[in-house]
Amino acid sequence: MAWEDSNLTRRDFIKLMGAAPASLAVNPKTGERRYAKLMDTFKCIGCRRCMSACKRWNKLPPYEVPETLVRDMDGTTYTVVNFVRSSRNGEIGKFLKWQCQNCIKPACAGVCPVTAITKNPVTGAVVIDETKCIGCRYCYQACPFKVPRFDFHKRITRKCHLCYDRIPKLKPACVAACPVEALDYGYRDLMLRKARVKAQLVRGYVLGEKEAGGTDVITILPAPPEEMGLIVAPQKIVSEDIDRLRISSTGFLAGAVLAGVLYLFSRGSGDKE
Amino acid sequence: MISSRDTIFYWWMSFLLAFIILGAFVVLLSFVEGQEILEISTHIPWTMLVSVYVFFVVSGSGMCVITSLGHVFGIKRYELISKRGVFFASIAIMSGLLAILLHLGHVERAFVYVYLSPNLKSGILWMGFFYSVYLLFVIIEYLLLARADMAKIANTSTGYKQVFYSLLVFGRKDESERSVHLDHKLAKAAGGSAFVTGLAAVSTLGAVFAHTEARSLWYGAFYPAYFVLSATFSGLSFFLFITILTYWIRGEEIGDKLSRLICELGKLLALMLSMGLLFNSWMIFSSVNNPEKINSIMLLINGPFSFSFYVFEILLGTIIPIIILLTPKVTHRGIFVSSLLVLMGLFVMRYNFVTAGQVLPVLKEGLPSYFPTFFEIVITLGITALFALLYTFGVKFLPLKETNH
Ligand code: SF4
Ligand code: SF4
Repeated sequence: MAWEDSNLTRRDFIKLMGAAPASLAVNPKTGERRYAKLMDTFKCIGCRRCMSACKRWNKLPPYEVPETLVRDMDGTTYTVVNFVRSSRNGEIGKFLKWQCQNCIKPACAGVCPVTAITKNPVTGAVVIDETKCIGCRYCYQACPFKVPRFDFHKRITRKCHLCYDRIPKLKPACVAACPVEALDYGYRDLMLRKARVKAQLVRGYVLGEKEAGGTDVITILPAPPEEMGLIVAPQKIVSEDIDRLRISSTGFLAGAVLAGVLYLFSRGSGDKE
Repeated sequence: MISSRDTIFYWWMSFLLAFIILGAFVVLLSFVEGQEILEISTHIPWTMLVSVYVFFVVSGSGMCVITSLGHVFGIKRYELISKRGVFFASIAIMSGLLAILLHLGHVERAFVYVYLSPNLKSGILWMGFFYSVYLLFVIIEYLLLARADMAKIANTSTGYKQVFYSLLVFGRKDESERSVHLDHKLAKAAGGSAFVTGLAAVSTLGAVFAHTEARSLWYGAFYPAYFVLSATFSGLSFFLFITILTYWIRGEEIGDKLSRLICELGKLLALMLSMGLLFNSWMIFSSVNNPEKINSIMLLINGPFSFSFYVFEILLGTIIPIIILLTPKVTHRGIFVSSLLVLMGLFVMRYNFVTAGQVLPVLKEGLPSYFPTFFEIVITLGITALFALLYTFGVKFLPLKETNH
């Protein structure tokens, strides 16, 4: 591991190790250890083999590179690699592999009307059942990272599913294809530990630790996401059930008030049957 | 003999049919070319069809509030408009639902998986549920309200006509006082249920948007309540518009009672619009200091949407109609013009609300285009034509007219 040849003190390291809350390390129901994917922008050389591997494994058509050269996910492109630069210091720039963050509490799954999206709490995969999706695109609206993309020909929403059909026995296709080990997949607590140590070393930022209440894709960024021009997700679970209930109830309250006003109006209008 | 009135009628129907066919053609095309043709940008997946949906169904649920004043709350003078109002509500909901079904990638699955694997925590599921039940109740309510009239036609006609009306009354051709009384009682129950489900539907529709924490413009407790309020003026303006227009086109005189009621509804519209304006201003002012909201509000008040916001939503769609409606001795023409203005403003408002809500946080450089695509416009015209066709059909063949009973 990288910390062995670093100038990190033993105390620093123990501090880093101890900080992970237990609930994020294991599946609270079964006690199984959770998995996660790790992406290290400091190692990535931008070869985009992960993109190709993803296409191959999922049998997706080739990607058409846009004129702007900024690659964006689409209905048949689950992951993209782009060069991102810090807005504060132009010299800080890295290749970033981007995809669905496979949130621990996915907002997309919470809103899908037909339960087409499910989260595997052990392997981490958030999967859209392509035979169930009705193509309403509500998941896209709810996603704090704005990930799920509509496939205009299959008429369903698609996104990275962490190769749910490979893990945890095989690593996800992208991880297996990476020639420089910029990608990894393994127990989440280990991945997080690795990320924290590396971030400490390079003064980077660990994305996915707190964003959207924690995600099962962890990315080591050279700087915080807002500085790297990424969509900034709140550092809490997004669109929680209780919050949605609160919002719905105001509508029902308004309806009840309206009914009351109408009743009073009818009482006062002196034109009863 | 075909009278000139009939000729106009056939021309009008063919005109509407042409638009419906064009719309249907675009739907088919979207299966061949991909649904992409119905989208401004991949990053704005909810556009025209969703706006059209909101526009129609909110008006349709607002109408239940107005008609319920007669049957449910027992204000006698409002019973005059219940038949047309309830019929309007049902066809508005049908047109709106058609728009949203066309928006879906796989409609056929929707009908299967809402039963097989419903997500009871999803706003869309409940919205679909409430609107379907609401539609059912308004249809039942209409059939009950119009039963006596339709039974009369069935009893005095022959051939196809008799079969048609007998089917509509489900064979209950009894015209006696007792059965009419029963109709009223049942209609009251159906109306009450429609009132409750209609309000639930419209507030859930607001909540579908308001639940999405990742969309700062939509998110929060404001919109479910505002949708309920805006339903009242949407329904009212739509109803006033088509009612006055129908009487004019058919060259019929608006009766005394109806005339007075129209003026009253005009005042009510002004009141509701003012409340809407108040609510909206309050929302904007309270968002100015909220760092999470301000950027998205800025899109409306000082950004790509501000022209349509100020001119269509505020000036033409709210302030001018309020001024016209509040002038003493306002004529039917005045009420007609203001309800048309409100409708236009409302359409722009729904479109702005849906589209502007999706600009942040993805499209930091702004919208690729404010205008919907050509194909979206054609589909919208098709749906509107279908609505007009259903309404024309109703006016021609069903008892809608305001008569005193
Ligand atoms: S990143 Fe978006 S699409 Fe992926 S799991 Fe989280 S909410 Fe769902
Ligand atoms: S687009 Fe598909 S997966 Fe997404 S919310 Fe709708 S039905 Fe669910």
